Amino acid sequence: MMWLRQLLFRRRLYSELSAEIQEHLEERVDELVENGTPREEAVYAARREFGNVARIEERSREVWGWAWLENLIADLLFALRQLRRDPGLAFAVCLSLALGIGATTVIFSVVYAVLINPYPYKGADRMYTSRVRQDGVSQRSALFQFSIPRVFRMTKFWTVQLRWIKRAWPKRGETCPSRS
Amino acid sequence: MHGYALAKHIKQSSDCLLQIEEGSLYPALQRMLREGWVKAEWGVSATNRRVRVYQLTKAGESASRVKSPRLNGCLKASLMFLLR
Repeated sequence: MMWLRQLLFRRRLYSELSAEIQEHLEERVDELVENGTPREEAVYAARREFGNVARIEERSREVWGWAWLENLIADLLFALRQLRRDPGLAFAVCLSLALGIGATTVIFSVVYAVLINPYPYKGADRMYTSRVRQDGVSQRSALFQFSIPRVFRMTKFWTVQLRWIKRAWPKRGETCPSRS
Repeated sequence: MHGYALAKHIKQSSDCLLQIEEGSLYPALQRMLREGWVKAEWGVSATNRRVRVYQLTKAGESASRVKSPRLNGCLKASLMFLLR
């Protein structure tokens, strides 16, 4: 639960860090002043030696690994503020999103029902057909969905002779596959 | 020891060999805080300033025992590279 405590108290962590860095700079300034540098120059010198304060604070905060969360929250708040500032635009955005999503859903439903899977039974992509020969007459069997061994068993006991089995896509209108 | 004193100490004890931005010390200190190697408390320095004093923890001690040979190796390698 250490990370939770760190998350909840990160503001304090950050402000302590800022205070600490400020103290660091002031201590350096005081030391330079004691050595005879004018205060104004000492402030600049201390900052120069320290480096970019804002950048270093940022890097120190990043160590805790909450930067992504803070950025996300800031971005969301910013987005909300922008939307509230212009309700007309917000409405237009919501409307176009709703229409876009709705239209896509409708078109996909239609395409799926008409082109991709128009068959009124399950597993239309697992249909087989076979050609069998019985009493000298060769004919194509109805579509079936069952295992090949079962078909062989079937032909063994019946007086039919199996010529071939192949995967088949049912034709439109061929809606009643044999269930055997 | 607090941040400023640490920066000064590093500078002096390395004969100004390690001249990095003083500020880069702070991300490193935060990292050590995160790992629990040091703990920080507000205190008063010898010059009567309000400072944040860092203290090595037990975990920090054992980590330093593990890391220091590796760090020494690193330093040696870079020195050999420089003196080549």
